[in-house]
Amino acid sequence: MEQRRILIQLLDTISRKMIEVEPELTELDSKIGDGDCGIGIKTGFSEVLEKIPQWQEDSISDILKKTGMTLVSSIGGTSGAILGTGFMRMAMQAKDKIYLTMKDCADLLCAALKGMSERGENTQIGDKTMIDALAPAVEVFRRAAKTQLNLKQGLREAAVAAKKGSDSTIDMIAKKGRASYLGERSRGNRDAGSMAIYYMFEAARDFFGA
Amino acid sequence: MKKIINRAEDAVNEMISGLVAANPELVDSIPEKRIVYRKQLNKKKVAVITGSGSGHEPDQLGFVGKGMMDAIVAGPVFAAPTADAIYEAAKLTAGNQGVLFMVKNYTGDRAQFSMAAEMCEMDGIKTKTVMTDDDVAVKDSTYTAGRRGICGAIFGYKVVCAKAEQGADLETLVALAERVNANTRSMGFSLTSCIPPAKGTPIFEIEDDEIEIGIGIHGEPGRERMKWQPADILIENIVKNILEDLPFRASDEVAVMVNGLGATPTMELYIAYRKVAEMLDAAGIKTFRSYVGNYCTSLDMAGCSVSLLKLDEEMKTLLLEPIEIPLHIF
Repeated sequence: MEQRRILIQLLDTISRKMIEVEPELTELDSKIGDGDCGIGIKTGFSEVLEKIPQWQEDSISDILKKTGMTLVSSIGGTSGAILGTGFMRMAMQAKDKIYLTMKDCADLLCAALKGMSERGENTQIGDKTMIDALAPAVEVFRRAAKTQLNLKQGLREAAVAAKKGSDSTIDMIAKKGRASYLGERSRGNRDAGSMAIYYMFEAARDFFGA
Repeated sequence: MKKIINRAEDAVNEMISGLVAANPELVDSIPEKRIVYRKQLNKKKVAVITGSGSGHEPDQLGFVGKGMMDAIVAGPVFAAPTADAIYEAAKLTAGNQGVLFMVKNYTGDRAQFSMAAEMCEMDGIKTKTVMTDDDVAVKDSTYTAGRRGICGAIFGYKVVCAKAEQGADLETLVALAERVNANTRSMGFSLTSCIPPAKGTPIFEIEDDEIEIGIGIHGEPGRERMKWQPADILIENIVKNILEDLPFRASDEVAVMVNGLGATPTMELYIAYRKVAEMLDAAGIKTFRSYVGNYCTSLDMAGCSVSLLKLDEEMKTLLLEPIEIPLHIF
């Protein structure tokens, strides 16, 4: 099957997963954030799910770009811009490509990580955000690509790293976003955004049957 | 809740269509993107665009037109507009000179505008972004990293847009905007909370006899909450903070704005202005021009803010340049 068609199916799977986990994300975010993380992500991916069928003839880059645009416009706020930027940067990295190697996929993820960190005004590991799950997952995936592991193996390890990264946010003090205003009181709660990132990797892993 | 609305979710769009209907010769809109733009676009100049959540009117949609903004992008009530809409507004208004984004300092607005700037860049549209952070009340507040942008932003809009109208290039406008922001200071207080249409209940609780000193324009907490005091004491409190922050000095020349937060009687704004004028006089500061009224509101909040801009000769000239915008009296 053409990779662009596989990408459509993958996004469909990820979107359904993100809609399904909304109550859990809402629950997490209401403890230390605005409480709108789950609803925002659900709204965004519901919109993606609705539009996906119209993207069948688009290139890999255009599908990623439209996903990014849909997320940024439907989620809004800082989190919409950050998540949207991730997909937009992947789209830029995939420009003119009709076939992605394992190495290309790693480059896409690296571009997304770099863009999301920049959009969050230099968000780093330890700030208690999506980046805490994304950065280790991307790093593991990049190493997998380098050591000639296949996509299934790469995603399996990335999902494990994302979960571990999300777990690490529990003990952190938030330095970005609404939770940062709680200071010390943000400790002891998991960051909802990091869990959302983990679920994306989990959905991708399950999609490829890894 | 009792408001002049139909369905809460239609409030922002119906406001925009009303504004366009009332000013057909001045502005037009792209309703699905909540963009209001100047009807006679001049593509030879730098396009100036601002955007923010709705609920602060007449800021920002009252400020579109000749001599002011080329376009504004309205978000939902108190929530940033999205990058795709900002990008559309830039594409619509940009000529060869590029686009200047003027943004109040809130993280959501910053993130959406920076993403829009990146989308413009991919399209070969040159953009620059300048921030306003004039609120002296708190260094860091909810919804923002760093100082908040409030009513003083409007001084920047007026001065910078007038300069753009004269054909200044993007770099010149950025430098001017930064100079205006560096010389602008504001602070406010509120007597009541406010009710966003979709929420239907007040965004924070405040007792009948309490005042929030240093309130943000989305109801963010300020410096302290105190019992009601006479107007002169309240004004003295905020103006003192403003004067000491820059600091302003004797023989400085300033523009003054006494701004209502939405539900403040004009009578009270003039009572407030009277005390501001008295204090400036006592401090030896010369008032070049005063603006008293509703400029940047928080829906139906009662209260006011004071903004001072320390002027130089160029800013004075630009402040007086004529404009044609929906906010007008006859």
